[in-house]
Amino acid sequence: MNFINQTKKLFKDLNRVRSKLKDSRTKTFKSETKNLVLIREFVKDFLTSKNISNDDLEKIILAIDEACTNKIKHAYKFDETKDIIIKLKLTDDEFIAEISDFGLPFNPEEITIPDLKENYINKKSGGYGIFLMRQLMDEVKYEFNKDGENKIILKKKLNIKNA
Amino acid sequence: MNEFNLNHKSIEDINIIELKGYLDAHTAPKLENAISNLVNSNQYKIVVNFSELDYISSAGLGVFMAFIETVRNNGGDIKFSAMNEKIYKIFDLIGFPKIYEFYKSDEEAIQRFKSSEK
Repeated sequence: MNFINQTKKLFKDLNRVRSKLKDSRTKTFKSETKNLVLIREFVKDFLTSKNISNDDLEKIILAIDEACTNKIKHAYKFDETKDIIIKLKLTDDEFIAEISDFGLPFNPEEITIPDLKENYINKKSGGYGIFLMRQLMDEVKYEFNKDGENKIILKKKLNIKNA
Repeated sequence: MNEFNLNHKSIEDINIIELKGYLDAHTAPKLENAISNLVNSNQYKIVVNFSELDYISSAGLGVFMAFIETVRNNGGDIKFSAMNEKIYKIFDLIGFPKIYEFYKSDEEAIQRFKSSEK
């Protein structure tokens, strides 16, 4: 009997933690570098009450900043009138961000791993964003839809702090 | 998060740039200008102090890559000082410790510049 009660309590606790976690939020930002700080705040607000580790939180914030920076620079070429749509989602143990633009599509096959030695000689200052995103997240995927939507999907399994 | 601020001071021929707040694609051009101004006036000994920097993205990292070769070809260097663990982790992910020197304090970085002159 005691065992059953303990198991029930465990499931109750687990569900309590899970219900705290499951959530989603979507927001649209104009394609301006000055909005990067607001984008980071948006991600931080969404995740702060969710018992995820600081380390995960910082990695996610940076990965989303990099994704949005790339969209501002490359998809929209700094056209500040365009929209970036950010959808944040938490499942039981995974964080997913879907970030969309309707600008120039980007060819993931053109991505190369940055070679520091080569960049050093060429005074190359860019190209680290995609590399960083891949280091920081578990999965980085691209989707190109017929209506012109270019989506990057970032996924990360989370280390949940004890509730 | 605090807005970005940059402070420049010099000790003899060594230039110290103190960074504060966040360094992202919006604020990186300010740092780019500051280093560019130094390079254009033939100032190649640069220490960047990170003690009050809260955040950096690849746009900030890229600024250092853009200047390092020119600076070193002219007998100078960009040395980093007082970086916290959180920021260092990002530099480490990109492989910067292979290229740049990191020091605990400005004094240590300055000392290194002075001892390499001897």
